Formats: sequence, structure tokens, C-alpha cells
Amino acid sequence: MESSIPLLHRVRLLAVYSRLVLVYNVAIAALGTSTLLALRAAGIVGEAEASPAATLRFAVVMAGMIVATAGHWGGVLVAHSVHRSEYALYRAGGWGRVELWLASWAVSFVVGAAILVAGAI
Amino acid sequence: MLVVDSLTHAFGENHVLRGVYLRVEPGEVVGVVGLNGCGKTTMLRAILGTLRVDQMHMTIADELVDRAYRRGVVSYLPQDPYLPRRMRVGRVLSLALPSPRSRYRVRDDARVAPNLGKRVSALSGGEQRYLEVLLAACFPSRFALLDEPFTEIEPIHRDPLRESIRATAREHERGFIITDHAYRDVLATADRVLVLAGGELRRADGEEDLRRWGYTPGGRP
Repeated sequence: MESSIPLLHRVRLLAVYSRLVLVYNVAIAALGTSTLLALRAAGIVGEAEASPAATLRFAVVMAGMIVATAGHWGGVLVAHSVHRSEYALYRAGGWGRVELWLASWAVSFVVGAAILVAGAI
Repeated sequence: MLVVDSLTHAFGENHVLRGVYLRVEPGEVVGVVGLNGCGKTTMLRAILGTLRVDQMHMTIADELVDRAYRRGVVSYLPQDPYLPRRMRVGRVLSLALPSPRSRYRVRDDARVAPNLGKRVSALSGGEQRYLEVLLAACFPSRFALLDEPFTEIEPIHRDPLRESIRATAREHERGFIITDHAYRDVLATADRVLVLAGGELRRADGEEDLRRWGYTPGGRP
């Protein structure tokens, strides 16, 4: 039996969920990067006396890595806790929970990679 | 036709469903009533495919189906509110319903139309529930499972809602399974009513049978 849900509709729902997770992901990445910068300034991580350019590059690389990895799963966790009831909306588009988490990871990964690339330039 | 056979599930030692058999024809509205905790929602979630049950054999149009929600053949109204409170009603319609025809149907409803520009958080509990019921009923699936569709709906709006469910069933040949403690609304909406008791479904032809099966007062102790 074939699915009666149009692909475009499924993609639209995935985009809505991915954006929701990305909001939390970016907040987590900002928090994580700030913490790492503070640790770096205190000399606990990396060089305390680095130049502003090196510090900026460090911040961008860390932010990109967090957005692409732990930030996503932290975002999923927050979205799962705060917006749990909304899964019924995505389910109507044929999305199961784990599928949503994994598929939206692709979006987070691309955004994180873009930040990393921006940091490398 | 949707056929569920041998549906069995237990939560630990609590055997809520014991080999349930259920058949729903296209265009038919089947009501299921039962005491709290008797397994109504468990049964609906098993049919939807979001609950892994101990045993179940389910076919739709003679095809074996697993996780029916993935294929869009079954829509579901959960008991609890699920619409994103931050979104406007018009946006919710475009996300909840894949076909323009079903969107127009809900958008043109006299109770929904004035609220299209409002956020879901600005709707009353009854308005939100009414919208959720319409979304599940009008979703272009073959079967719709409505868990407590009449809860929170004011009496004055229950008649139109019942009529809307019946009209959708007729016009779109969509089969419905409805559970609700508002059993008079279920009796008035459904073509046939079943009582879920002791893990099994039993036919109820009227209020007398509901008493007999221990759902309403005055029946067996």
C-alpha cells in the first residue's frame, strides 16, 4: 500500500520541525561557545593570550561543531520536553519521532558545516 | 475495510486487550465506549501504529498494514491538545492537511473561519478542540480514529460536529472509530457501538446494553 501523503507535505513538516530544533540548537551552541571562550580566557583551554583573530576563529569553529553535533541533540531534547504534544502534527505527515530527529539532524549538520566553512575563510 | 484481529496487549500484569477483533467498513462510524483504563486509547494507538503491542493482525483493504500512520491511511485525534500554540490557525491548516480540498473544507467552517488569523494560543479550549476534531476528520485518510472528540465541546456545537463527522464519513467513504465518555453523543453519531470491557469488545445496541455491560449505572455490580 503506497503512502497517500505528498512528498512536499512531508518536507514542509520536516522544515517546521528542523527550524524549531535549530532555534534551541543555536541557543545551546551560543551558550557552549561562550563557556569555551571563558575557559580559554582563563587559560584552562587553549592559549589565554591568543590574538583577537585567533579567538574569533576558535569561537566560530567551536560554534559550528556544536551546532552540527551536540547542539542538535540538545535541541531535540528540549523540543521533546517542551513541544512533546506536537508530535501528533508531524505524525499526520507520516513522520515518526526517531525519523524526525535523524532527518532534522541533516539540517543541523549543514548549518554547522556552513559555520565551519565561514570560520575557515 | 479495516480489520483488526487478535489484538492483545498487557502493561505488566495488567492485560488490557485480550484478542480484540474489530471490523470497520468504509463510510461507517463505529463508537467504542468503556470505563477509564479499559484500553480504548491503547487500542487506537495500536491501530495507528505508534504502540508496539504484544500481538495484532491488521489489514486495510485486504493488505497487511504495520504502522498505518506512515502511509497516511489512518488519521488520529489524540486526547490531549496537540496544535502548536505559537502558530496561527491558517498556518496550522496548511501543515495539518495535505490536500487543498480538505483545507477549504475546514477553513470554510463557520466556527473556524473567524479564527484563521488568530494564534492557537488565543483560542479557547473548546475552539481548539473543535478545530482539532475537524482536522482529524477531514484528513484525507481512509480511516480516522477520534479519541474523545466531544470533550470540551459545548453542547450547542456538538450537533454540527456530529453532523460534520457523519457527512465526511458518507461523502468520502471514510471509516471512523470514535471513543468518548459523552456516550449519548457517541450513540447519536455511530452506526454501531461497542463496549470495551474485560479486554474484549461487545456489541451494544442502546443504553440498556451499556448498563448491562457495566458502563452506565444500574447494570451488573
